[in-house]
Amino acid sequence: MLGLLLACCGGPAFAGVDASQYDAFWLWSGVQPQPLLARAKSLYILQGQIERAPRRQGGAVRFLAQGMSVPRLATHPGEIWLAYRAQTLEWPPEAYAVLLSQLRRWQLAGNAVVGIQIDFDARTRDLHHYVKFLRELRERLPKNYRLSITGLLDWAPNADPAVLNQLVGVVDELVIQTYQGRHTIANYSAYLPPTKHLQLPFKIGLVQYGKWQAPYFLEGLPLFRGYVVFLLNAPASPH
Amino acid sequence: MNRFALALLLLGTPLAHASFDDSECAPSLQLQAKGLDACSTQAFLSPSNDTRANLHWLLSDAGQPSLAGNPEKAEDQNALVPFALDQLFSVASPEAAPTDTPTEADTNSLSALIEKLGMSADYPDLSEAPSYASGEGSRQSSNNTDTTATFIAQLLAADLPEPERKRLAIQRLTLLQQEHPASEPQPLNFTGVQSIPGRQFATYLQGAAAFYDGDFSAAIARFTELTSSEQPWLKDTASYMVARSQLNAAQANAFDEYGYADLSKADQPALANAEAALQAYLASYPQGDYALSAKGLLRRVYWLQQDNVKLAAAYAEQLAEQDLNKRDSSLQQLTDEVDNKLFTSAQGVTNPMLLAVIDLKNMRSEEPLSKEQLQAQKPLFASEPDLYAYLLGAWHYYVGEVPAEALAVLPEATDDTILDHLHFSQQVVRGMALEEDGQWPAAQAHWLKLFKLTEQPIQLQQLQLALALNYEHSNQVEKIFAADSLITNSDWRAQVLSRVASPELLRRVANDGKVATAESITALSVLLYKDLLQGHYAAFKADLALVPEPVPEPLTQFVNAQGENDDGYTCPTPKETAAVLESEPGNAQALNCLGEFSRSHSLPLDGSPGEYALGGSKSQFPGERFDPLHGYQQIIANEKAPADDRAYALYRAINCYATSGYNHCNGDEIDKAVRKQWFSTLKRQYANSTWAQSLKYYW
Repeated sequence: MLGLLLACCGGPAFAGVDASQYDAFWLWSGVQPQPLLARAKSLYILQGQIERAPRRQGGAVRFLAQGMSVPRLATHPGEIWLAYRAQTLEWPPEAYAVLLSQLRRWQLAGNAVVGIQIDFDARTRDLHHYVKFLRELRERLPKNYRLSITGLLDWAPNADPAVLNQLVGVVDELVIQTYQGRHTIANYSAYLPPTKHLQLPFKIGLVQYGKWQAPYFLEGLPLFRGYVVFLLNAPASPH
Repeated sequence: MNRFALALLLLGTPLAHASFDDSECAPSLQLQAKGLDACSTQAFLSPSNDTRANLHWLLSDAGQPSLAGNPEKAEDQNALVPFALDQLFSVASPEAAPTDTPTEADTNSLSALIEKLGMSADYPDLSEAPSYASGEGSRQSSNNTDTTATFIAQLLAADLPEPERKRLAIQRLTLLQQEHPASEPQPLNFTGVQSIPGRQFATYLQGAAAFYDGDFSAAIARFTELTSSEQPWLKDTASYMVARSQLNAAQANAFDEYGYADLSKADQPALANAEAALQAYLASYPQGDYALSAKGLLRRVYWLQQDNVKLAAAYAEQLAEQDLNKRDSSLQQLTDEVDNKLFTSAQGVTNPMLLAVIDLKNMRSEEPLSKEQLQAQKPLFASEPDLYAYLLGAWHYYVGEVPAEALAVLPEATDDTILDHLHFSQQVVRGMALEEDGQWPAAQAHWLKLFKLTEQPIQLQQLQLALALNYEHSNQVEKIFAADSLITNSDWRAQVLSRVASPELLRRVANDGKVATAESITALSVLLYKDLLQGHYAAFKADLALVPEPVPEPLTQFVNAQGENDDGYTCPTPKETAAVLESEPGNAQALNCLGEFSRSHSLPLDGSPGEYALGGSKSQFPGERFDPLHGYQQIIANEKAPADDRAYALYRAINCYATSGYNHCNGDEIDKAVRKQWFSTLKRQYANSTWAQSLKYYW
């Protein structure tokens, strides 16, 4: 049985990820308000999913609203990112129009939006397509907005470094997710050493109540930019 | 351990997507869980189902489109049930999801109208006009190309001087062009609009601008002026917009800066006005353009008023409506809405269907519905006695946990009634209660009988699962593979073969028939794997004779020599390794090679999915699975082991801790001093080996 984390051997306790120890969060649909939102330095707020409708419903690419309505966070101290889940990269012009329109709406309501984040689970062998999509998105995004993407845990070890490096200058940060669904990936620590070779700024994504012990080298990496915690409502059932 | 507690630990597992996504779940193959499991929706009413699924089953009994009617559209025919929640609507009858994003078609109809006005070269730039995601909640979303086209069509139909018509159209387009509330609102300009109808259209646009910019009292004032207009469209629309503006005003303070609701802050007097205005609109315009919308807005009023009685009645009415033209939302939107807005509390809910769904949800809560509370509801189910009987039976099974009481209230199925979802649910709970009561043969007969009482593929598959679980848990696994077995689901049969089957059963299935099938190959693959890795070396050699010619791909691993691996260690065929271990259990090379086999090959389905799931009972294949690290430790303890073999064992053992310092081989706690000792032994005693040379660290 793989991936058993031991309580032995020194190091910080393995109690679940305590969100109050962090300052950057993902906020998805249906999450109850938590006091730590008010002091967050960064909030990644889900706003939509771009997907292909099933064939029996026409098969067109559609942009589904998700997450909260436009809030009024003018007095919030932190940076706000609008997060979008992409199930497809074949975006019609209307999809870009909606995204840009949402950015304008958020700004008009006084929210300090600094950029957008795309959450697309690209397989490592399809990364070059993803890079092409991101280049185009970057062109269409007004220059004052940053572009963040999430990444799968196996990109750093398994992706072609030449392709990953093409993200430099296109994407402002990569957030590597150590969890699937609501649970930390077993054996996550084995995937982390190759982050030493990343050439773009990156963060590590954790799930609230999940597991995390930082490898010794992480804080020392010049491109490491900290953590983002995915907020849940209540402790997930044990795995 | 309480079976529900254990079941809670073993719910279906969300996979794949990093961010939570219901669509890639692995369902848990069991029936009797009580805790919410969005990955394992059952085809019967159950506390473990999401409220929307339970509602769906009851709605389909009432004549709404049913998942049960379209299973042939499911992507995986072997996985109709249990299923992930999001499939609930993707397989059921399609109602096209509305889109709020303007398409080329919308813009074209607007352009056509603008051309009719003779203005094609001359209208505002719409490239930054707002556009909305589908389902985006915002009052601004009704400021779109569709509503603009409607307004302009009205201008074209009205008796207006041409310049006024154009002026008004341009102002409407100006309104469309910007996000609202705008940071620098462009004031509307009605210069030259003098005629009475013209001024009325202008008043309308002023009202609309005020509405979109959030000045509701101004909007109410403008629209109220138009409720006596002789222009029928203006009168109709303005009446509706008065009500809509009042609703928006009433809720203006009810949401905090994040958009979270605090209903105590809704303006109740204003809500009462909005309610009256909406009712008045519906009375005047029962078939009006906005009648359906007004109905939907009334639900919002009731929600803001926290009036469950009115809210539940409104949902019951809409959910019973089968004419799509009389519903303001698709069935999916409606069930999502009732789920979000009503199902938190049973208070005030008298509709039996909605109450039943809430009751089922309460049965899984930490403080479940009490028997007294359920009994007190009996009068509300006077028109639905069978539904009430089901709820009582479910309560006794899931909450009271006295199966005999469940059996007392749930009727036995008669031989000639085809079962709808409710009655199917009664019978499934009966079957589970029989088993919980220890009546396994009676339960088996019960499941077999039910196969004849349904024609729905999803229910038939549910029964296959029930029967398979019954066979497995009453120690009759071989019946699953009998010639006349009703359990034909190949994935489920593979689960049982891989996790539970005895060597005898595997051998029988592997040998079944003249031609190799996918199943016989799976059975042989599992047999050979466990023979080899659970210490049955003689059996392994004998069972190799069952491998057909030409050797199917999944079986080549048992036949071919392993050869040299990436670390330069060479192994013979598994047959030779087994032969050595049969007579010499401590042989170093053979132990290493068994370890190599284990490291590089695994069974696709292995381990236990949980005691109550299919394939979760104790495996009937004897012997403990070989642990490579124990093998290495055995070699390391033997100082007389051949140099290369011992060096390799040390190398492999040390690597169990690479690179994070955790034992990812078998999780055993081994003192760091011991690992250090391995490292120095390797470096000192076997300095010339490639492994000593290549290994720079230990962990």
